[in-house]
Amino acid sequence: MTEMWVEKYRPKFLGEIRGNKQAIEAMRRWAEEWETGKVKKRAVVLSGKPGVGKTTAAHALANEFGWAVIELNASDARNAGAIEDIVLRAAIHSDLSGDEKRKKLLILDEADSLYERVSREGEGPEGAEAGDEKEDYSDRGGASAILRAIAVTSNPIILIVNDEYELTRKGRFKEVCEIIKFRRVDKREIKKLLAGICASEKIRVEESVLQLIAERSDGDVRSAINDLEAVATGRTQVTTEEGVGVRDREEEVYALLGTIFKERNLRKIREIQRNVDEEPEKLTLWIEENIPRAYTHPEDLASGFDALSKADLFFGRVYRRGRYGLWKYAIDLMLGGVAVAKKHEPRFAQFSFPMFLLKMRDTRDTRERIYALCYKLGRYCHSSIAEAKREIYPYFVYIFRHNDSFRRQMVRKLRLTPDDVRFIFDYDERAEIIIKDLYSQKPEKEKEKQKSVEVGRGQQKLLE
Amino acid sequence: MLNAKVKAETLKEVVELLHTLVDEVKMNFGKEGLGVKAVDPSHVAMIELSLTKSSFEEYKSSGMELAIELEKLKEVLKLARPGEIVKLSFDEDKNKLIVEIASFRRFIPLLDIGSISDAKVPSLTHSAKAVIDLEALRQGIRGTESVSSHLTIEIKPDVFKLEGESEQDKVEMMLYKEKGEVEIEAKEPAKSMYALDYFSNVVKAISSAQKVTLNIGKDYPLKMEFAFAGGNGTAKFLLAPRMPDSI
Repeated sequence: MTEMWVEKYRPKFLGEIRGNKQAIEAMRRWAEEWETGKVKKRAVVLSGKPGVGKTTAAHALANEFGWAVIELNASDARNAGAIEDIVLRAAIHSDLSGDEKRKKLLILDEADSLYERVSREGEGPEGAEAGDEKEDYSDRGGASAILRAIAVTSNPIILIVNDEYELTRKGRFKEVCEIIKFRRVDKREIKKLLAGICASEKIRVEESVLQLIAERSDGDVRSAINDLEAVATGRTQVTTEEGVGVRDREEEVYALLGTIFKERNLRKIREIQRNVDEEPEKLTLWIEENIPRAYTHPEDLASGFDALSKADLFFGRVYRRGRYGLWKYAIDLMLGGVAVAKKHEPRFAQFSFPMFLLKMRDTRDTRERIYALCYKLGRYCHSSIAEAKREIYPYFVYIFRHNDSFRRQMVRKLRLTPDDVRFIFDYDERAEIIIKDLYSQKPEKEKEKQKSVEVGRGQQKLLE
Repeated sequence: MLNAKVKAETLKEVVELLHTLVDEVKMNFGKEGLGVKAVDPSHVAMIELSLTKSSFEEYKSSGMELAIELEKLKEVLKLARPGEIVKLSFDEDKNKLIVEIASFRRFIPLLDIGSISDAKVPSLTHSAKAVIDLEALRQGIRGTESVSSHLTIEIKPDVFKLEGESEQDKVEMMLYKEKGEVEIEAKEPAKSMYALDYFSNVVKAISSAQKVTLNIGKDYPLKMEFAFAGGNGTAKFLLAPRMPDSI
């Protein structure tokens, strides 16, 4: 098999990287600090969208400075123990080659997804209030292991993330790392790069085609090169724009679904999945939605769903137990398991977007409002949000709707807004009348009461 | 084609040694014997083993590289009694390693060769060398482990010294050339510090060697060499030195 173009034309030196000149200069400065022994920050964070050259730059840097590379990414064992062992060990040892001056560069790719489990647990609307609620989850697992390694390391460390905020809210990364941002690569740069590849592959590709690919890549060099390879492979000339796909996530997922339902070759499916920019567990939703569209025979349907349900089990274990090694089994079951489930010819199907996600999207506003209300209720009743939602909220809504004095008290104590009241009444017309009544009190009196609530909730409670 | 018969304890030793660093390994069944190289995930330690044809009871191979999950091999080897012969063969169609012990067989699925990266053995030149009894080294390591997570090895022309230190405790072990406790070849004194975990595990996993050769330098990787399986197997263990705390 021939090498993919993305690999073949991957820059080996910093100077060959398109775009992001400032970021690359910053990396070079940092590396020179290591070489001279005057290091200000022992680690850097490279943050930016996929395909803009972060990983490439990290490797090129190591190559240029003659450093050995140790790379860890999401598929390696990612529980805190394994990270701690490997990172810490690598951090305090010199290289096996015996060259004392030779540094080892530790690259932690996809460092932000080291905390998958943590961020899932902290999910909820992004409110100022919700913020401090999340703190509790922050310093578990991988983050603290990495921070410890950064504190003691004698070797340079690079963390690569798509979203630096995901990382920095997990610990003191801002203080101990230099954060270098990678921006989308300018489309003129991408076009030049594509033209260069065409020249060395001896393929004539029309200017307008390159232009189109560059524009659609949205600054993602990797996807641009992949797109070019897709239209140009096996040809010596490309003159029309046909065949240049629109690059968006859904399109990629649809292609993956098509392959899963048609193919039986896991390797092939995996290769495509690797290019899909979607979390594996989200993919289970897509597959779930579309199994019945492709598989018609009851037997196929049953075993297809069976494989998927097993994948789901593994995903659950990955997060519950923090055993990231199980990931690969989940993914194989999800892709291969479903693919080999078919014993009958699948139907050519029009795939559709997962209903679950649509429903979640539609109900997002409602869910967030419930969350916000339960947050207030929870605080007032000294219970967790989850408990408030389960035990208190249903009764609260019922009593609120039916009992006037309870309503008045709650509006005051929880500081509910007219909008909250409308929501609790499910946007019923009745709500407007009640709101008028509720909020028509003299403003001064209202203020006083609010004050006393602030002074001491306990006291207030006793008085009543 | 692979057909190899070997004493269980020989294979056990190979597996135990490798398992101290890695979980999965590429075994190269060459025409003239077995060769294995493994490097730990943090690239701090490496093991290189080779078993010549003569260390097998019977050995025939067309030359192949098999990627194996060590835990599985370990499990099946537990069934073997000392002195029992283990037969290894390769089922090409099913891509499985067949391990036979008496009338028992286990079919071990092989891993994708590409999933295990190649270990490159660095070329090293050491300034000091000491040959010591394995038992002495074991004692020294066990003693050091109780006070520290790393130890210092020092070789002077006339003395070999192990040293471990924690905030309050200190251990040391000295072996003198004069007393015949150690053989030393050193042009100049050498001293390096190494983490104990891997070192200790590897030393514990050695079962059939009496003497080991330790090569060190000044803050330089350790190379420990020993022969096993009745002199037909050779092993090399490399360990990177711990860097001084300050940079």
